[in-house]
Amino acid sequence: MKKSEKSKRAKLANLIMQAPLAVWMIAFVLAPFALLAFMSFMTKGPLGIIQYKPTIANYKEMFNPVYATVIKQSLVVAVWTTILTVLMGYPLASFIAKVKAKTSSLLTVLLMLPLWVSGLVVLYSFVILLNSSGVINSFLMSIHLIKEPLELLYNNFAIIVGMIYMFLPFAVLPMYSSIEKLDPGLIEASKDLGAGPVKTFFKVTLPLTSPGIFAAVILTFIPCIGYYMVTDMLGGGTSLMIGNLIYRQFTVSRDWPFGAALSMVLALIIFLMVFIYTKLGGDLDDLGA
Amino acid sequence: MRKKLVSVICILTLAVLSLCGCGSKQESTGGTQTGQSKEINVMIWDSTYPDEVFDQFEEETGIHVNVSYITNTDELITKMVSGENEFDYVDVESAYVKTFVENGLLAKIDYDKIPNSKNIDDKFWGAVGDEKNEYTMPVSDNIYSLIVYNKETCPIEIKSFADLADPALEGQVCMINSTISLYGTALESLGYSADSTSEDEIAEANELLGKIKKNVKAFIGTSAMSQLETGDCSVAFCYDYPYLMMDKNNWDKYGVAAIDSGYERSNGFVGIPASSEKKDEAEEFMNFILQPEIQAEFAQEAGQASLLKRDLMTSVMPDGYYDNPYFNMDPGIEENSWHIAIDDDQIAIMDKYYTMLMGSE
Repeated sequence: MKKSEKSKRAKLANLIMQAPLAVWMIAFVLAPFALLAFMSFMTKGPLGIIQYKPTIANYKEMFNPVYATVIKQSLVVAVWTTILTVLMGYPLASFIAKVKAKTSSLLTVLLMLPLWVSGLVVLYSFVILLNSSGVINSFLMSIHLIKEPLELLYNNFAIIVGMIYMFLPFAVLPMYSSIEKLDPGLIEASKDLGAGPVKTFFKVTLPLTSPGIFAAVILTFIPCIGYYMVTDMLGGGTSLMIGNLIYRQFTVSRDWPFGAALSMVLALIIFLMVFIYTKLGGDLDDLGA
Repeated sequence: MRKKLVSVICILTLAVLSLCGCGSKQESTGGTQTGQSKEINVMIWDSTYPDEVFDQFEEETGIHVNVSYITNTDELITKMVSGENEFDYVDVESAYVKTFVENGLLAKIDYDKIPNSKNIDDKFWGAVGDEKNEYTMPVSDNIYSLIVYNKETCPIEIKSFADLADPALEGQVCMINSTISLYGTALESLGYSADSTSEDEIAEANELLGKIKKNVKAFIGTSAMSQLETGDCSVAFCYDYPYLMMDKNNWDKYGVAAIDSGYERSNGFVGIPASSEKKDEAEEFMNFILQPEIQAEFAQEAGQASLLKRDLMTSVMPDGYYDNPYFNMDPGIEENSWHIAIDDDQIAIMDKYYTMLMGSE
C-alpha cells in the first residue's frame, strides 16, 4: 500500500473518530449558544413570545441596580466558596498524594462518591442532617450537650457547608494531580539548604503546585457562580443568585430574551475567568479541555 | 468555501433536528397503542390524578390516555402559542384562565356532552376571565394561601398579613416564593386589589414584604410542611394546610390565622386547546372523571374535599373522611377569599420588585 493512500486512510479514520464529538459539540454546545446569543437581542412579545425585533434593551436593563446587586451576591458566594474549598482541599490533596497508592486510590474514589449521587438527593440529606429536629441536633440533645436545637439550617453556615461539599472534589483532583507530580528531590534540596518546612512550602511547594491551584479555582468558581440549589435549599432562598434570576426569566416572567441576555453575561464572566487563567500561565488541559 | 458552508448548514440542521425530540415527559398509561384508533393527550399537574383513572377510562370507553405532566403553566402557554401544542385536555390554573381565554387558546366546551358537570358544586364555577364557563370547567377543590401556625410554638396571635413582620416572629416564618401569592396578598392587606398593575401600589406591597422578610427563615417553592413539622418555623404562609391535615396527629397542633384582608383562592380548571382535533374524546374524559366514585379517588389522592356536591360524595368516601379540620374550616375563609388573574404587565412589575426584595439584605 502506498504511503499517500495510508495517510488518506489515517485521515479518514481520524475524521470518523472525531465526527461524533464534533456533531455533539455543534448540536449541544455551539448551536444552543448561538441561539441564546441571537435570542438575547430580540424583544419580548405578548405572552412571552419572542418577537424578532432586534434590540439591545435586554443588556441595558442589566445596568439596573436591582440586577447588579444579584450579580454581586452571586459573585460574593462564588468567591467565598472557591477560597474556602481550595483552602480545605489543598491539605486533603497533599494527604492523598503522600499516602500509599492503594490508599490514595481508595481516597480518590471516596472523594468522587458525592458526584455519583444526584445533587438534589445530597442537598435533601443535608436538610435531614441539619434541621432543628435533624440527626445532628437530636444527637446533641440526646447526650445533653445542648438544651435547644442549634440553628444549623437556612443560614450562611448551611450554604457554605453545602457549597464546599458539592465542589470539593472539583478542587481536590487538579491540586492532587499537581502535588503528585512534584519532585520530592526539590523538597529535600530545600531542606538541605537550610529552609524550614514553612519556608519550603511557600518557596518551593506552593509555586510548583500553583497550576493545580489555579485549575481548582477555575473548576470551583465556574459551576459555583450559576449554582443556586444550595442557597435555595440550605440557605432558605432568602437571597437571589444569578442562576435564580435566569430561571425566573424563563418561567415566571416569561422574558426569554432578558433571560438569554443574563445567560450571556454569565457565560462572559466564565470566559473572562478562563482567559485570565490562561494568561497567568494556566493550561486548559488541566481543566479537562 | 461553498462546500464548507453546505457542511455547516447540514450540521446545524442536524443539530436542530436532534433537538426536536426534547420536550416534556409523556407517559403512556396502560395497554399498548398498537391497533388503538382512539386516544387523547392530556397535560396535567403531577399527583393530582390517580393513575388508575386513566386505565378505568380506557376500559370503559376504549380511549387510550397519554399523560404529560406540567412543570409550569408558562411552559404550557409557550407551547400552545407557538403552535407546538399536541394536547387535547389541559389543566389550567385559575390565575391563568383569563390569559388562556383572551388569547384564544381554548375551545368552547359542549356541556351537553358532559352531563356529569351538573354534579359540580356551584361555588367552583366561574373562573376570572371565563365567568360564563364557556371555555373552562372546574376540576379540583379550592386551595387557599393561608397563614398556618403551630399552636404551641407561635409566640403571637396573628390577625393580619402585616403581623408576620412582628419582631417576635424573627426567624420563625416560612413563606412560599410565588410572586403572585406574595404580592397579591400584600396588596390586599394594604387595601388594594390583588390584580393591581399600579407600580406605586406594588412598591408599597414590596415595602411590607421587605419588613416581613426580616422574619423569614426560608422561602420555599411549593411546600412548607417540612419546615413546620421539623420545628424550624412556627408560622408558614403556604398552600399546605390540606396536606398537613392528612395526618391526624396534626389536627390539634396547627391552626389557621384569621386575617381581615382575606385569602388568595385558586382551584384547578380544565380546558380543551383550540387546536385539538379530539374534542369529543376530551369531553368524554371530562364527563368520566366527574362521577362520584371517580372523584372519591381524586379527593383521596390530593387530600381534598372533591369539587362535587357534598351529598353526592358522603356515600362514596370512607367513614370519617370529612371530620378533617380542613373540610370544616371557618366558612369566613371561603367568603373572604379572592382569585388572582395573571396579567403580563403585572407579573413583569411584580417580578422586578421580587428581584429587588431578594437582592436586599
